Amino acid sequence: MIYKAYRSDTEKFLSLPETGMGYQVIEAKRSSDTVKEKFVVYNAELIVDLDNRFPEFIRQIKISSFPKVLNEAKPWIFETASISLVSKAILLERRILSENKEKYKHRYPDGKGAKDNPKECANGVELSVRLSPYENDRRIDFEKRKLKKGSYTTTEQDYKVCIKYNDDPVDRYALPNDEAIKRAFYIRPDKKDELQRGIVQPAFGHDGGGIEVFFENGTSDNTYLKTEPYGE
Amino acid sequence: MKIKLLKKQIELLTSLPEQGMGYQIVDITLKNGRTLKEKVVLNSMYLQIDEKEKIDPNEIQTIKLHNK
Repeated sequence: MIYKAYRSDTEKFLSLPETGMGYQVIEAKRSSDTVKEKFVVYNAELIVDLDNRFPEFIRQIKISSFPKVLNEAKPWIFETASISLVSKAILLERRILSENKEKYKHRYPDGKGAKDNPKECANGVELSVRLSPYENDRRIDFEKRKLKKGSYTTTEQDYKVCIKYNDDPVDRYALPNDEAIKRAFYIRPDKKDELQRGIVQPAFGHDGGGIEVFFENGTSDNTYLKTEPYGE
Repeated sequence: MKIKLLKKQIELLTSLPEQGMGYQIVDITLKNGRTLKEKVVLNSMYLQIDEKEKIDPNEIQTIKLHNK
């Protein structure tokens, strides 16, 4: 989302140092929330969500003019008192970490998330793998041996890369819990099953960069094959 | 910490899409009107909360997927 700042917020931004020339990276929260969200502030007045749609918002700004975007932007509804700068050291550390992971862990540096990519049909051969700390994965229908609607997996190929390069699956797939992954559930989607594939976006303090596959409608009956211990 | 949700809450979440592999992000309204936003539910059954929040699943009025 693209927002415009109220005057009080602009004054607050102006009281803080810049992160880089003409911009600040900040955190703030809504009054009803406890969690802070990150934003990039341009010229102390135009605020852009720093989430996985950030590149899309920047394209919008480039296509249109800054004053026009500012004029059409929604008012920013975050607490002025909660505004704080995200330190440059944290941003820099994150970037270097990502470059290392890209090089040594074979992560993908950029690309859209699965839901932002078009649907395709499975080829009936490729395997999907769902990683979980839990044996009783709720998204697998063990009775009909299928993946339930609205579930994510990765590809077997990306899972193998994760294992081969001794990568951390919690970071690669940007999982919210730091519990150890114990199980790998194998699914072979049928040719008529639709899927969307993309790159895991950074989340929960993790870099992502693995492959994710989203099955809006789940998979056909008898496509769940087996469960294996993680890494085997 | 994480708490296990009630069977009907688990069934509801199992019928809703994930936001990533193995998790959903939800907004919760308690029966006393208090709201909790952007909470993580693992495996459609374990709600992750802060130690200080201390929620009883029986106090939950509604659970909805967080829609940013």
